[in-house]
Amino acid sequence: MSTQAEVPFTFVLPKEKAPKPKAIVIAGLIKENPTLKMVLGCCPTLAVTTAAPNGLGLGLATALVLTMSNFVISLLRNVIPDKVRIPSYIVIIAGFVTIIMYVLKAYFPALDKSLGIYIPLIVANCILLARAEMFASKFGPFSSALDGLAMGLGFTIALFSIATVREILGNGTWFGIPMTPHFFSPAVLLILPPGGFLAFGIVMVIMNYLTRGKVGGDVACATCNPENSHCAPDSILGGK
Amino acid sequence: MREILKPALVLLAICVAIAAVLAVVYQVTKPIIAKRAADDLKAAMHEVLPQAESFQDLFFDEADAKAKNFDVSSTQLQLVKAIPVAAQGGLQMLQISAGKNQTGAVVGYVFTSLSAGYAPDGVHVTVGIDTTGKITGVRIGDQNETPGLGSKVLALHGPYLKQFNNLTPQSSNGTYLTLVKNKPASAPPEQIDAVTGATFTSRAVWRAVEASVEAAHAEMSAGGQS
Amino acid sequence: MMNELGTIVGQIIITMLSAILVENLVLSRFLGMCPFLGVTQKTSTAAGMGIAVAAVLMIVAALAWIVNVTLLVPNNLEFLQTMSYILIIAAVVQFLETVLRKFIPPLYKALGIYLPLITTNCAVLGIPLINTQRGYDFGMTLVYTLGAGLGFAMALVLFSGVRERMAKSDIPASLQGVSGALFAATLVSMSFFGFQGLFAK
Repeated sequence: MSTQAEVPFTFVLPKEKAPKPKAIVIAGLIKENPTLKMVLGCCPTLAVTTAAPNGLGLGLATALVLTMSNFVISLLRNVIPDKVRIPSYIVIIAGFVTIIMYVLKAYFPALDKSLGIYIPLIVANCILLARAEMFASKFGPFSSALDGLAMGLGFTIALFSIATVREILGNGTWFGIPMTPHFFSPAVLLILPPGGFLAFGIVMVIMNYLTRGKVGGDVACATCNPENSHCAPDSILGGK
Repeated sequence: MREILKPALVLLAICVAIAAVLAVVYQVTKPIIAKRAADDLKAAMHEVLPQAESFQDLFFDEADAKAKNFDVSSTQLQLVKAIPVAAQGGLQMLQISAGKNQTGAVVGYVFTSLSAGYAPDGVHVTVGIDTTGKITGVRIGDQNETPGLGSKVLALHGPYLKQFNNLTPQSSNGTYLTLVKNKPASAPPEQIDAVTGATFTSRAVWRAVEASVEAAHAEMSAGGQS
Repeated sequence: MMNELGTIVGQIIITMLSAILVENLVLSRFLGMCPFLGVTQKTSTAAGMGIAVAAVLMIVAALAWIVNVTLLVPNNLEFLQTMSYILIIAAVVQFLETVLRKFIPPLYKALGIYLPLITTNCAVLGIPLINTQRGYDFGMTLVYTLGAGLGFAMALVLFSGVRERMAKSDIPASLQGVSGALFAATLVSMSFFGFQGLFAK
């Protein structure tokens, strides 16, 4: 940065430098956790967290897609014209999602069955387009892949924890293994649709309390629309 | 013109490249997926009719065989002797297979049906019945019943499904099994006790088993290969 | 003849009501959560978003059915389903935006701001996928999609009513915004859960 200050009259804009790997990992897992801090991708967070393996499976599938799509989009970032940016990103993301879908069908059919249409719906998960737009279109392929992995794992951690709580309290099991004593009758509500909202609501209240109300604000996933100014990179990366 | 053409060409190139990759992935995984589905189906049939060594699909008619991707021109097409009513009172019989032992003699039948339950998707039920009319196993396939309530009925080794095992129900006025609520201890085993709070799911499974038993008797008395 | 017609009409009504109430997109399938939580602070915006999504859904589902049945399935290209559907959505949204802005400015003013949000709305991708999975014919696709869109709009409008009330009440700081909305959604979802067995046999 200091070299830029010495030549104040340059017309070439200084290239934004990618954050350090450690910062990327911390941002993805904790500081900018896509589910808990940014409130992105709520649909799968609510829908598949009825059992721990489902939460883990969808989280990892999303992380895999995100890592690969970020890598490829970053590689092509100077080739793709600005006008067809969004459709190009969507097509690349849809390609990787379809690959994952067929791999799951072939090698993990039970997981594929229980996740159902939520696997192809990874395409519409705002996290993917948001990361492509905010990170991969600006920085190098390896930083972008790391960002995808970190964000994906942050998403996985959130999904897995919510699913663990819902499965243990709602069904008395964890990965299908009985966990609760016999006198405890599981609160079935937690694995029913209303329980999804309830469990996520409780998580959000705790996060709100811990961060003094700075989570997601009032807008939730609507912010992830690429044409929305809330998504400006400086408000996402590196804080205020 | 250039400003429109170039972006369009880049987007088209990306689409073509991705489609090509997907075509390869699809070709590689397709046989694996098909084999796994066939293996799973065979394992499910073997589970409800353990004494059978191999299974032969019976078809309702030629159109049914065609719909199930069976090579109609081959001479092996085996038809169901007594055709069950297709969709009667919320039940749809999807597939009937004959289980055979090592010498090729029919030892029983496996019935797969879709029965209307509480959730709109229905419950897939696979029932095995041997040639003496004994129920050798009941297994639940795809379903979307209420977790924690309906799923109690469907638990693999749960008390509800156990009621059917090894029953050889006899016909009384055309019905073999009946569904009752709060069954007294002295009642005969042909009365199936519905699970409290999950009546619809209980009825879905009972309806499928009852239809399978009826179809098995019809098939055997029509001189099916027993 | 009369009987047959009755069966078909009955089928249509059951599919429609089932899509609106039993399988409500938002409240029991969790599709389209973003607009459900994001744009339901006011009833007017919720209604606008609901109508925009329902309209786009109809166009997208019809086009997706045509593309799937005439192009993909006959050529064994099923693996391109997800990709084609999302491209259809992006194209329809872009097209509507341009056309409405040019030719029907008042409608664009009312609905235009919601259109770009629809591209990443999983409900709009989810419905064509469900239609394909269930193997609906063209008529059933339209009926089910219309029901799903109406159910979506209804859920948004109902929920915005709840949130307008909540905005006027004194609730703890941690419960304001999305978290409080999630608790309200729990109750709305619970009441819809009562519709589950509506058509059980």
